[in-house]
Amino acid sequence: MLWLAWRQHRLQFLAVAAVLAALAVYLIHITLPMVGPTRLYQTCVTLDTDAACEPWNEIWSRFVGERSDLTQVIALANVLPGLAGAFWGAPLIAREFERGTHRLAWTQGVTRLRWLTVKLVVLACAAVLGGTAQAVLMTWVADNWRINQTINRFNDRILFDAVGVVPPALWLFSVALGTAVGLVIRRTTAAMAVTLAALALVLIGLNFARPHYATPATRVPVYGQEGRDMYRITEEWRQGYLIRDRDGKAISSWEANALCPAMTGADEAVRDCLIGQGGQMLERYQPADRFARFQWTENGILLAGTVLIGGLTIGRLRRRAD
Amino acid sequence: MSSPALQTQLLSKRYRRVWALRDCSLTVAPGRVVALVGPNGAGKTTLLHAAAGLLTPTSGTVRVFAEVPGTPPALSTVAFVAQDKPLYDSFTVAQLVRMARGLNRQWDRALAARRLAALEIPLRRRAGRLSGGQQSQVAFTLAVAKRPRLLLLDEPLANLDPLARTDFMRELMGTVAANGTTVVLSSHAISDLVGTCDWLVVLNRGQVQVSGDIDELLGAHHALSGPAADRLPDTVAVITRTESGRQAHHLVRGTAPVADPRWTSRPVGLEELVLGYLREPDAAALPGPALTTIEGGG
Amino acid sequence: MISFYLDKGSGLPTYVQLVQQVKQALRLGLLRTGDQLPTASEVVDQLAINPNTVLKAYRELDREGLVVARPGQGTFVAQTLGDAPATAYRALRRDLTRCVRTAHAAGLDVEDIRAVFTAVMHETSRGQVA
Repeated sequence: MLWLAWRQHRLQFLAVAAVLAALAVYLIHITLPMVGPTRLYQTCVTLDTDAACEPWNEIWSRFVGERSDLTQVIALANVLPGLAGAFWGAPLIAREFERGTHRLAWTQGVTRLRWLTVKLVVLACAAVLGGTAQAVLMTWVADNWRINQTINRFNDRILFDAVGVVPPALWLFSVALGTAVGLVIRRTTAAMAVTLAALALVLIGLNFARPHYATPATRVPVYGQEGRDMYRITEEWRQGYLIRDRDGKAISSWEANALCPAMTGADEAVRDCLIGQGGQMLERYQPADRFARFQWTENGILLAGTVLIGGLTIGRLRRRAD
Repeated sequence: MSSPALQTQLLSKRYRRVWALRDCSLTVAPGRVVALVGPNGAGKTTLLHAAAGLLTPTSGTVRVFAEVPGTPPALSTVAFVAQDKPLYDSFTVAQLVRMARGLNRQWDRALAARRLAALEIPLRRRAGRLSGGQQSQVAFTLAVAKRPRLLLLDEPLANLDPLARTDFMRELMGTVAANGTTVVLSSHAISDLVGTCDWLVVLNRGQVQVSGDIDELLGAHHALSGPAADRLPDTVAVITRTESGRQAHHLVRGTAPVADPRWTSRPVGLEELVLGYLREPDAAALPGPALTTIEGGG
Repeated sequence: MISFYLDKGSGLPTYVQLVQQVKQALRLGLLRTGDQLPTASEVVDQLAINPNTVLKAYRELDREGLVVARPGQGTFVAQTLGDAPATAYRALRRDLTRCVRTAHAAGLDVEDIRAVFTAVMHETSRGQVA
């Protein structure tokens, strides 16, 4: 049975592994030059002395904002779990039905339940492996690109799912989703397309849900950082402002601008004006140390979805094969 | 008395609005070689799939050696070859054999090797590159090497040339002789079943129309020809009646005391019998006391 | 050893054909007491027929006392046929002649009689085995 699973899916495994490898080569190639400067930055932040920050000070402006198109490359990384779902999950059952080979496979001495379970376990192992590889790669990339300050793993919708503990869960979910779609649609190509579309919808849904994983912290916004603080890269997730007028009613920033027309439109002036009028202006944000909690939350949602979809698929196939 | 090789009780299967099988009740004794015949869409494939555990009945039950199809004990005693002889196209013949060996507790390695060698099927060729006939033979090899007690074959003769058909049936009969395998095979080519099958099941519009020992069925049916104006005696049941001029031709069940020389009676062949019933879907010959007691079955 | 053949056009069930061929061989002296009949597998291999059919034919012969099955060894001829007394043939011939004459007198011609004769033969051979 294990041999069969390997024999039947080895091409698909190799195809996804090849894409992952190609992406890795490219990302490593463009990230390696960032490793040295990142180390300089780390030294500066850790020691927080002028001497330690001197080398970084000299070069930092070169890296700020460089290659902001990298986010597009990173977006590619999130295609990987989609590929796993489309190439591993979707054909798993759909191709059997399409070719009629389920009548061969499911009339041998092994029950459909066992057949599917073994295959899903094999695919799950491959998915965890692939997801972990992707996470390791992308986390390293993200670590070394922090210094351009446009890449924040916490607030970047795409990067969030590409690093840390989320990818293995996302790959698992995608494979389970593909398998379920294949069971329902029974045409390989259509199932692959639907799997990709469905996964995209799920990711969009998660993006909408993510800000609500925890109630944001609030603080009075601080402007005009000085000295070394300017370099300090924060990976917190800013989620906009909470503005109240003097009656304590929440108002939009447009309304705030009407109450406090600032010459420059600078938030700082508006803040001071509002406070002067007895109002309030708070910045909502998720502190950087909540990143892990958010990741595990998303991981949990995806794993729960995986178990649910996998369970439904197994139950459906166990009950009926026609 | 061992349990029947295949037994269905009021088995029904509905696909959306269409009933593929309706209230099918059928018993196949072990050791029988059953010919499952009927027009396209009569439910032959559905019945075989139900016995193979590939579909869930809408209502009614199906059992193979008293086990529910699709469960481990049923899977290890039943082998099935589907109509399109599915194989994994990208697998070589040797890999398919390896797969089947791994998936079945019982596996006759020598039989598989001997059979594939005798048929000169290249083991290292991918299944997708074999001819249709070779694919059928590989699929059949995988099924018999499992040493099943019940072998279900959906249109096994369809892609075979006449010589291969004869050889196939010869070999199938050899398997039956050697292992006492029960066989249920569906076919359109009734002439290929003469002499090989010993039990006939006619399915028509999802229902069992005829189920009986072939020799007994042939012995119990006659073609009667005589004056159209005459009435037939009550001892015979008329299955079909056609008139040509003053003559009437009947396919009847039962022995007619035809003393009248204007009437002639002749035995009927299997094909004639089957076609007669298929023309009259309302006629039925099902195992009643009279038909089952004579031959207790294998 | 007897070698079976099949006449698909005869309309007779296969096992009846096998029974008749054994009896014919017994009558002609081709099979003698103690001779072994081919095993079911051998017949199956030769004729590509259902082994149950062979067994059925052998059971039929066993019932008539012509052969005996020895478990694990095979089926053997127990008794020969063909010693039907010549008087029986003469008696049959005499009876038939009388029948045919009566039929002629009643206005039936040769074809009519042959049709009835064939029908009777069919029915009796069926009746015997059913």
